[in-house]
Amino acid sequence: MSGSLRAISTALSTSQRGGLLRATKATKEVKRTSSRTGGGSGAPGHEVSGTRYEMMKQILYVEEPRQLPQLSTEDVERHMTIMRAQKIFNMTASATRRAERLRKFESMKNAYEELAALDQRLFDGACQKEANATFPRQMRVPTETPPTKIWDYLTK
Amino acid sequence: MLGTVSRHVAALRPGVSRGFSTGPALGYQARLSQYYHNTLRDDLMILQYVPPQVRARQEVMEEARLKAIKENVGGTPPNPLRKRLKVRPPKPRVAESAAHNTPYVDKVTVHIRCREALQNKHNLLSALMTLQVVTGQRAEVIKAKNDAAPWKLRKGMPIGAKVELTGDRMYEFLDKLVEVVLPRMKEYSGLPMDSGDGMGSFTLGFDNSAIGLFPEMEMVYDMFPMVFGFAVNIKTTAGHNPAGRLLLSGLNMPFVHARKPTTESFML
Repeated sequence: MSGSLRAISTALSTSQRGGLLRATKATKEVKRTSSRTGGGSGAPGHEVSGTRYEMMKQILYVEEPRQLPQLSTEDVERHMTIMRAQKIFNMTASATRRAERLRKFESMKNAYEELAALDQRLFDGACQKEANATFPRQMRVPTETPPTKIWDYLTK
Repeated sequence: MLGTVSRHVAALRPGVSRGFSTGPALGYQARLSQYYHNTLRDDLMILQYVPPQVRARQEVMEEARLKAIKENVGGTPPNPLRKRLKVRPPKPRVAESAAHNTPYVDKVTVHIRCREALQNKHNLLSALMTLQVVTGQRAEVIKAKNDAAPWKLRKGMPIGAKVELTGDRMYEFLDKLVEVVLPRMKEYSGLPMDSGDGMGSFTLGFDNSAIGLFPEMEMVYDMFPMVFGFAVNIKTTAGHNPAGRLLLSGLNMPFVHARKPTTESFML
């Protein structure tokens, strides 16, 4: 194991370190066996993890895919009703948001025009854009169940 | 009609699905998607607004700049003997500010380059399985486009795996990446300010220690004979880097602020 790898692996958690070492070991094994057999047939390194690859092949390609449930006529009707209702809900929500956005855009445009008519200096100032503008990192995406206490400052 | 049931599942033949994921099944709008449509989109529209007068001024300056380049004002005269083999197409102009043309995340591609597949094609199974577990979508095999004799690579040999994510699955993946994986990575401060290809596409590369940080991988990590590094390409519809950066930072992607401000700005 080289020094740099040791340095990396000490900075990682146990599971990560295991993975890293395993990967390195497997790569080395592949290289060793392939150099010995000259990369010919016989799947070098296959014995090392053969059973697990067999399992993966089974899951990915061989295993019979699961069947979708057979729906009766009533089930189909129910399903289609739900899908239609979902579509209508999405369309309504989208239309509401679009109207709101257009309203915001128009009022912003009007505000800029008014400012330009009022004071050119203020208008130029308002048009200045920050280079490398990003949203603040503190901004959170809302969650379904926000904690009642956001941050415990007394945690040691 | 019934295809809507398996909308996100890679169906092999009608009525049959083989998609699997250790993550939650998606029968709802992703959290990040909701956030984008309800909040972020309007914010981006307001932040990136350029009034028509300013836009006109910028266009005059841009015309002058392009004219100066074309006429080669104050530069070395072009060498008539030199043939220009590669002519780069001009960049499309930034669209005029409107309520509808806010940038959005178009597609996320996750790919694994699996060199070990040259020795043993079974190693590719690990890569395919990893991508399927992490993204919840069936991965496809990438084959070599060209020969590369030093690497014993011939055209058509399988060399990698990739997944192209759109819609809710894409937002779910971004959410996991930003909320779980990146914060748990040691010594990762964020994307540098000069990242991006200038057309609104951003790429992040990870080594093989990062793949175990995905919550789905934690459960099945020990089952994998080999773990790989991976690359994530985020394609946005922002025509230039600053707009794409603003969008991604709105989705909580961390960016490292340079000490010195770069010359790049929102000007055309």
